[in-house]
Amino acid sequence: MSKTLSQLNIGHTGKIREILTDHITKERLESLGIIKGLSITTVRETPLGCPRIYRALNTLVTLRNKLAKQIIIEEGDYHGEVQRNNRSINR
Amino acid sequence: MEKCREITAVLIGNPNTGKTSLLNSLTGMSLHVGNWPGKTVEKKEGRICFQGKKIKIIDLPGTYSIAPYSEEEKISHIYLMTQKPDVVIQTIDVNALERNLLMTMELLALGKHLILAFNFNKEAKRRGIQVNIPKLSAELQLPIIRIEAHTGENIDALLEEVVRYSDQKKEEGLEEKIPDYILNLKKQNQAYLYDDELTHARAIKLIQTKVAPYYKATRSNQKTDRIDAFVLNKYTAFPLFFLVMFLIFKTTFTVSTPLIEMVDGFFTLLGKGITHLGLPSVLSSFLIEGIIGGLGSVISFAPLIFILFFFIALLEDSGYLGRSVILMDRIFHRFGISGRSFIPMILGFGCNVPAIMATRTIKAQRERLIAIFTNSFMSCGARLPVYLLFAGIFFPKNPGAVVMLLYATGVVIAFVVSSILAKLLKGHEEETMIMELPPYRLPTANNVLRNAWFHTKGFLRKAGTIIFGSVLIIWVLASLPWGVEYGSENSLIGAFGKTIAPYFKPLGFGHWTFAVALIFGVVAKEVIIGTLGTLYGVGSEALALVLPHHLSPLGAISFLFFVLLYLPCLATIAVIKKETNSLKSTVLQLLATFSLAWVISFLIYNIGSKLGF
Repeated sequence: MSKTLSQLNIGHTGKIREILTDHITKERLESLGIIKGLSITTVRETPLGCPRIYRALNTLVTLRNKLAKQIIIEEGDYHGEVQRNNRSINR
Repeated sequence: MEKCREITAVLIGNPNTGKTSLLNSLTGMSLHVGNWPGKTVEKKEGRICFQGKKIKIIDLPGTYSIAPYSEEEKISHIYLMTQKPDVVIQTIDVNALERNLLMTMELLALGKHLILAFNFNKEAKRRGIQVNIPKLSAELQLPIIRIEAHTGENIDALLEEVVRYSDQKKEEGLEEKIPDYILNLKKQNQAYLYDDELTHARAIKLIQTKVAPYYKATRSNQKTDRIDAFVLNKYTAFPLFFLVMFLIFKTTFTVSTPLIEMVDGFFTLLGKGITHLGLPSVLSSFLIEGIIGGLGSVISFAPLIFILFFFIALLEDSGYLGRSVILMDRIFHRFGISGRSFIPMILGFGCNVPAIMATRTIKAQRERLIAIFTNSFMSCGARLPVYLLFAGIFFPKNPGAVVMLLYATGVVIAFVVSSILAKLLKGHEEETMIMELPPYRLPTANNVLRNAWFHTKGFLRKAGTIIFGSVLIIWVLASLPWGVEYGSENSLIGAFGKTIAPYFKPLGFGHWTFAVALIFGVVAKEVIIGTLGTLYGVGSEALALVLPHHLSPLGAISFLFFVLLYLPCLATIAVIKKETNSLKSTVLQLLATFSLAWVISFLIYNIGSKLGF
C-alpha cells in the first residue's frame, strides 16, 4: 500500500518509492541514505510532533513532516535486515 | 631532489565520522574539533614529518557529498576538480559503512587515490558489527586502515600507508585511475544522462552488493535508542533541555566572572605601571586609554567565550546538541526560522562575534541573514556589567529582575523581528532541516578543550585586530584638539556627543555624557561604564552617587533598553559585514536596530512618564 513517509507509523518500515522534492533537496536526502528502493523506518517523533526521526542506511535522520509528505513509500514487511540480504533495486 | 618531494594528503569525510579528531591526531596542531559552528568551512592545513618524508595534510569540509550544492560541498568539489593531491584520506564511520561509501564512490569517480580510514571500530565491535577488512579492501581495490581517531590509535599505520600508497602511485605514473566497477557505474549512469536520479540508487546497489559478504550490521544502536527514549520523551525532553541550558549559563557566568575580574585587574595594574614610567602624557594616554583599555576589554571576555564554547563542544561531541536543535525546531518554525538558529542564539549570550560566525551552519540563505540580523539582540557578556551597574544603582531592591527583563526582551524582539523578516524575504529558500542525528558518544577532554580554545583564539584574533584599529580612531577623536582632557566635553568626541545629546532627550537621558558613553560603547559595550566614570571624573564605584543626579529610574530603564538594542559593537559590525558580504545590508541593519532602539526607549520613557513612574 502506497503512502507518504509522514504517514508511516512509529516502529514501522517502508520501502521508498518516489521522492517528489526539488532536485537539491532530493540530492541531500539521497546522500543521507534516503534513496528510492531502500527501506526506511520511523524511529520516533519529537515531543511536539515535528520533526520526526527516521532510520535510513543505519543512521538516524530527522525530517520535518512537510518534507516527509513528499516522500512516497510502500509499507509492507520490510525490515532492515531482511532487506539487506535480498535487496533489489527498482529501476 | 625528487626525494624531498612533499606528499599532499587531503582529508575528507561525512560529518560525525571523527575527521577533525583525526586531523588533530595527525597534525598535532590546535585545530577545531567536531562539526558545529562554521567549522571546517575554512581550509585548514597541517605539515608533518613522518619517516623522513614531509606530508602536507589539507582538511576539506565535512560533507555528505561532493556534488556542488552547499557552500561546503562547493569547496570540496572545486578543490578535488582542480587539484591532484597524492592521496585522499576518507574517514569512515564503520557503524554507517554503506552510507559513508556513497561519497567514496563519488571520490573514486573523480579518479582520486583514495585511502579509507575506518573509524569507531571499538564502538562497532561493542554493537556487534562485523567487518572483514582484508576482503573488503580487496573487493573495493582500496587500502583500508582501522583507526581510532580520538585516541590517535593506529595513526602511524595510516601515515605509513599514505607514504607507501603515494610512492606506489608515483611509480604507476601518477595517473589517476578509476576502478573498473566505477567505470561501469559511470557508463550506466551515462546511459541515463537525462535521468540522473538513478545515480544514487545505482551507487548504493553496487555498494550493498560489494559490501554484503564482508559486513554484518546490526539493525539499530540500542544505546542511542535508549538515551533518545529519555532525551526526546514527551514528558522529560523539555525539562531536561531547560535544565541543561540553565546549568550551562549558570556555570559559565559563575566560573567566568572571577576570571574576567582577574584579567581586568591585570590590565588595570599594567595601566598603573605605565603611569609610573613618566612617559610623555600623549604617549602614556595612548597606551593606557587606547591600547591597554581596548585590548584589555577584548581579552577579558576570553574566559567567558572559552567556557561557553567548552560546554557547546561538550554537547556537540556527546550528540545532545543535534537533539536540542530538533527540539527547538517546531517552536522556531512558527517564527519563520528553524532549529538551526538556536545555537547562534545561545552563543550570542556570550559574544555576538563567534555567534554570527556560527550562523554558517544554517544552509538556507534567508534564515542565515535573519539569524545574523537578530543576533545582536541577544545580550552579550559585555552588556551584562552595564545592566548590573545601572540596575544596582537605580533598583537596589531587585536588580536581578531588571537584568532578566532585559535578557528576555532581547529574545522576544529577536523572535518578533525574525518573523517579520521571514515574511519580507519570502522569495528565498527555506531551511529544510534534513539533519543526521549522530549516535551518543562520550566526549574526550582533548577534543572539547581544543575546540573551545580554537574558538577563543579565533575571537581574540578577530576582535583584537578590529578593536586595535577602532581604539586608534576613538583615541584620536577623544584626544583632539591637542591638550584637552581625554574624552572630555571639549574633545572632538565630546563636542559630537553634545551635538547629538538633544536627540536622546525624549528618551530620558539627554545629558551629553550619555551620548558620549554610547559612542564609546560601540567600541565595546562595557566601555560605557568606564567612559561615564572618566567623564564624571570618578571611579566606577562612585557612579552610584553621581548618576542619579542626571537620570531618573525611568530614564535608567530607557537607557538600558537602548544599550540592549542600539548598535552592535565594532567587532560585531565587522563580522556582520564579512558574513553577509554586503555593505548595504550591514548599513541597513545598523539603521534598523538604531531606529528600533530609539522607538522602544521613547515608548518606555513616555508611556512610563504618563503612568507616573
